[in-house]
Amino acid sequence: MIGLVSSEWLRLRSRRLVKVLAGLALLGIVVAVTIAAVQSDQAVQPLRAADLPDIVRGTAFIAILIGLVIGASAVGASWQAGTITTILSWEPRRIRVALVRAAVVALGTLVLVAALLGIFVALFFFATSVRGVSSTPPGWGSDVAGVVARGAALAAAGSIIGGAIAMIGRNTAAALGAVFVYLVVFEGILRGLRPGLGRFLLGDNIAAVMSPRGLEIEDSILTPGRAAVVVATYALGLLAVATASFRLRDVQ
Amino acid sequence: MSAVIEIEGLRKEYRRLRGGRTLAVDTLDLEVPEGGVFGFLGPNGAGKTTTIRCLLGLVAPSAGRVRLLDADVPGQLPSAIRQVGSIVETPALFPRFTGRRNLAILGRIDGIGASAIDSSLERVGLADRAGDLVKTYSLGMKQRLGIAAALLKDPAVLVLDEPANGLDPAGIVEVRQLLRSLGAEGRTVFVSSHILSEIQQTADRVAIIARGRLVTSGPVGDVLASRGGEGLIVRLGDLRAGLDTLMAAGIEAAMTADALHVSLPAHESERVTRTLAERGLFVSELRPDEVDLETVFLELTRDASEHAP
Repeated sequence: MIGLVSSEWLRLRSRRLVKVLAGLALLGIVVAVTIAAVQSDQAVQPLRAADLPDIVRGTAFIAILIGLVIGASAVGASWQAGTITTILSWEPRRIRVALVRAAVVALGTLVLVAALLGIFVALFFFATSVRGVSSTPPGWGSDVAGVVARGAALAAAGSIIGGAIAMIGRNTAAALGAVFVYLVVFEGILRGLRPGLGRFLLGDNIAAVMSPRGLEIEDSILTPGRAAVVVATYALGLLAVATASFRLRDVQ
Repeated sequence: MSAVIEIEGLRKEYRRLRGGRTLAVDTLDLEVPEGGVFGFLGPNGAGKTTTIRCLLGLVAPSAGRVRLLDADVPGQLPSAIRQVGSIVETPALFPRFTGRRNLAILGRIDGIGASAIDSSLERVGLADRAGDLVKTYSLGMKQRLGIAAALLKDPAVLVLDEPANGLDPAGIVEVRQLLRSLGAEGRTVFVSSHILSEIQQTADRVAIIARGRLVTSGPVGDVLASRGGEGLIVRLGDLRAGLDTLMAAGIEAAMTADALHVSLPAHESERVTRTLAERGLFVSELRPDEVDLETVFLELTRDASEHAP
């Protein structure tokens, strides 16, 4: 088991896509913070450290997207290159392979996204201290830490969802396409027809996890805690279906 | 342990997308004894790769029983897989990783360290290119890396599906020598191939399948002998005179376009030369009428196709 975890970890951190995504995200962070600092106007609209939690909330969907891409590609590439056959000729216990891979990808994504958001927070805070207002309200630190943790956790959930769909479809592009169609088209139509269904939809629940007091849907509030349970149910449910499919289907 | 691979009544059907079924393996029985090189032969689509996939637990049989190193597949396969190295079709490797990184990823699963990786790479002649990305490798180099991966576990059994695919003549000779040396070390090398001359030179035993069924199986010599091959080919200047002389001496013979086919075993060839020489007829060539594996393979698989329902 430890050997398989170590192998999957080495494979994940060797992947060029992970390095490219991390590099692009870092570049994006540096450019965004630099532009914000340059455009900061001390008199009219200064850069304020107090706004950081809301800004990090706004980046959550990018973090989830990174998770989806990492998860889908980490699993889908194995099917496309046929390396899943090679892995199974070393470790034939498929459920173990599927779950270890999902866990390693989720953990790797969690660490990566937490690190990226942490770098963003540090750079932004530094920018406010140079060209803005760096004073913060009470509880700011825990608020920022909570938002970063939730963003990273959502990215990890995204990686599980992306990986699970790639395992079912045995293809990276198919997985990303399916997630896009589901979130944008299918959930969009459902939300338009029955707004009350929003409390069960993935998109609404992701938004609710990141919002400070939850999301108002019709007359009720979708709290962050309840939304986190729904997102986790989506991720683990898809992982269960993918693992069962992997266990039962032939590997050609 | 009498047999390291035991296959009983293996049957595998695939459902077609538009209905119906394709029978890939049809009630196959096979036993592979411990040690040596075992050639697994069959025309394209005969079911060789499907059988190997069933053996490695990649494909679930529709019926039948598969055992590998006394372990039922797939239920007990995890206990046996540490002693089994394999390549299925083209070696599936991570193209954007180096050769060494590929082996490291696999090796970590069983806690195999760098020294074993180095010796595997050395054994297949890839040590110099181990730091290059696999996507820059030729097909032959990928095959060799696949063999290196299969050797990494120091396995008791090697299951190799067409390991000489894509190799140049020098590479084929290297693989032949490697398989022989692995078999000589006491390992069991189960190798499928369509390069029959290679199998004839490498394998101790063979099995030939056609249309998913076993056609014949046994030591290479027995399989060759089962299709005749007893006789001598004799060439001389006057074939007609030679034929008459041999027939007059009670030796059964037949004339073909450029030689005589004499129905005597090789150890009686002296009788032929003496009989002809006594009548002033001198042979220019005399050799056993050997049947090669390719001829046997083609005859047997043709027979199987003709008798198929």
